[in-house]
Amino acid sequence: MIEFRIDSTSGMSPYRQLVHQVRQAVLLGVLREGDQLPTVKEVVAKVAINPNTVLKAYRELEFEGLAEGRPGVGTFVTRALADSSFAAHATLRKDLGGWLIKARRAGLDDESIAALFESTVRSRANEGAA
Amino acid sequence: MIWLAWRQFRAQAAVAVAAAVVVAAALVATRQHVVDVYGDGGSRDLTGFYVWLRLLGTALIAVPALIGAFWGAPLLTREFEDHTYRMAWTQSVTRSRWLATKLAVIAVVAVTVVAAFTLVFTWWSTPIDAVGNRIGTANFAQRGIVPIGYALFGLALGTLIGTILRRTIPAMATSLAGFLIVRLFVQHVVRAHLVATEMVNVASFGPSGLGGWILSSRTVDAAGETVSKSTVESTLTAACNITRATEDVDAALAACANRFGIHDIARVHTGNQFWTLQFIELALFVTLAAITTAACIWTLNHRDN
Amino acid sequence: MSAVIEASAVGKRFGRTWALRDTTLTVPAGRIVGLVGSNGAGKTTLLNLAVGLSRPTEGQITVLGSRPGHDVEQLAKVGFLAQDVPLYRDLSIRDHLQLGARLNPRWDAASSHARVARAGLDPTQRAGALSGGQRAQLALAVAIGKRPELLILDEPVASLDPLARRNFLADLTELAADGLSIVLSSHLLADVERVCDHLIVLAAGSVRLAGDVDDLLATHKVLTGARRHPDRLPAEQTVIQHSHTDRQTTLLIHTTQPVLDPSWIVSEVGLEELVLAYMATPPADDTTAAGRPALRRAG
Repeated sequence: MIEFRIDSTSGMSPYRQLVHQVRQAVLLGVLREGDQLPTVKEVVAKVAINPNTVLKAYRELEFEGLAEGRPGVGTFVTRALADSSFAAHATLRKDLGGWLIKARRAGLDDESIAALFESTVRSRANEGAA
Repeated sequence: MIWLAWRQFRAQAAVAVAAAVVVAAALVATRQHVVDVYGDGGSRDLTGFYVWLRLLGTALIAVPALIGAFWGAPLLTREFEDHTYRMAWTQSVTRSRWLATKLAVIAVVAVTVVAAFTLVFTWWSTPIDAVGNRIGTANFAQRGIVPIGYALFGLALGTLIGTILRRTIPAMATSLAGFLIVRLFVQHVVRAHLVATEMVNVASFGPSGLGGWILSSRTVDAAGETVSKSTVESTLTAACNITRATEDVDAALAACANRFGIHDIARVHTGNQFWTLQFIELALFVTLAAITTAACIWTLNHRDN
Repeated sequence: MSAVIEASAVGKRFGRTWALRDTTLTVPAGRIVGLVGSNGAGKTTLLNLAVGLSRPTEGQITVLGSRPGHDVEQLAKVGFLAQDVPLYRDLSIRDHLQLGARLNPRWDAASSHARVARAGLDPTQRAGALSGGQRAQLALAVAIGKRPELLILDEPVASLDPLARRNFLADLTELAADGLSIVLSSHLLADVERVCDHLIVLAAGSVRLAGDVDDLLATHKVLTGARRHPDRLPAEQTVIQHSHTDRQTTLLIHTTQPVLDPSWIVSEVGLEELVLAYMATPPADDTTAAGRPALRRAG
């Protein structure tokens, strides 16, 4: 059974943290297909966050196809992320590695790289919204 | 709710009952001695320990005031000072029922203790009252059933003052003062008018032998003319040769007055009006208690918190 | 969803001071509602009105559809935990649970005893001998044992140590997961952010902001850019707070549309920043909620 923790200092909202932690757990094989996620009540009893946050996270996971809610029973992991996406990720990771080498050669430090990355992500997102 | 009212009151009730039992036991044990002292041939003079016992019984006068100050006032003031009213009034009980139940429980104990104690003390005092007067003096407040009314009124008044003032010490002091004012006002101003008086002929000198309460009197001569008592006294002294050497001046004066037909006409409440007066004054105080309790409940429901 | 609390132009005056003025609110059911504001803002006044300990000087308030504190049915549906957690010092824990059982029609004896045991409390101990965290647990057991539909708490965790606070909040969220509506006043924004999904901000006796947290965060943005006058913004974007240096302008805005102007850097706003901005903003003449707040200089 997965145990959640919420980091109130991280920039990520609690519901995103929960989604992220489930994804991570599935990636690492801690959660396997068919495993049950803790009930909303169990989560909030340990972590003291709003139950609607947990509900939102579980809905998001359902939407992504990672989990499935069965009424009266619980929420269950439906598939492992590992296979199909991991391969795609491997390619992306390699490309990213190459880009990082270029960025460092251009003289950018970690912070500048992060800032550049964020502003590009955002401007792409704005373009998408427009 | 009755459970809660009792749970919060039981320690105070225990103290009161214990004290009452101790004093009552002492009274029961000493009663025979009183009978002896006040019976035929007795000295009619209580000495030593018995004087203290009588004084203690007289303390019955203070009990209703103390009930108001120690049981009535803190009922609300403690809830306000400890803020526990915020818990009490958000349970599924209206404020009216909450207060009424608490008052009822305390009232039952107060009435029982006071009634039982007064009963014992009245019985203990009967030899004394047989030769004295229990209607016209302060004794009236320590006999019979009237203390029950005082206790109920004291309790209601203390509670009302506690509801208004909200702080324990000021409420206790004010309810003591308030109760005393009302009680003494009734005793000195109102009581005489509660029952019709009678006009009775009484001996001008010496004991009246009535066992009653003389409100006013005037001295009249054989013809029925009003005369001044001091003038009469000097006239009689001269006429009957009463001097400082005379053995019992009062008895001599009385006999002399009798010879000349001098007597007093008095406006009295006779001794056999004792119980009537008791019932009426009891009813008066019970009514006051009811009005005060209603005012208290009204205040509780309409005041800000 | 129905509303648990509805207030309409409610005002409460003590002597000559208005502790609360012209307050209109609709508090939805099924939420953990955070009532936020500094001391003296009117939080306790509002909560006391909601549980029937006071009555409004003007306006009307209904809780679960009826007037607070006046009939037994209504009293049975609302649990209250007052500020500074009042308990009867000389009564034991068991006595307090008896109190709850005797004074409430639908008391759940089994779960109250379980709750007290889970908190590690000895039922024979007097309430006066308990620590702050234990008192809070006992008071919560008494408030919850009557199986209310709505639980109202006035600064319940303010004086608790961090562990006791965390345990208490976890208990509250667990209760909310079972469907209880909760209204909780606090001046600790970190707790509110963690636990509340609906927010009411009070300042100086009036409501400055009210709404679901998700909506509020989605409809407010921080814009940073070159110095300019705040009036030069599209109509549907309202400035809540603005500040300027010689070169830079920062605006906190309320908007329902995405910001398209590329000369602004747009950031999300945190709950604390949002609350502070609204607490500093005086209400406009004709509004008491997040409607058209006045323009205000930051700081």
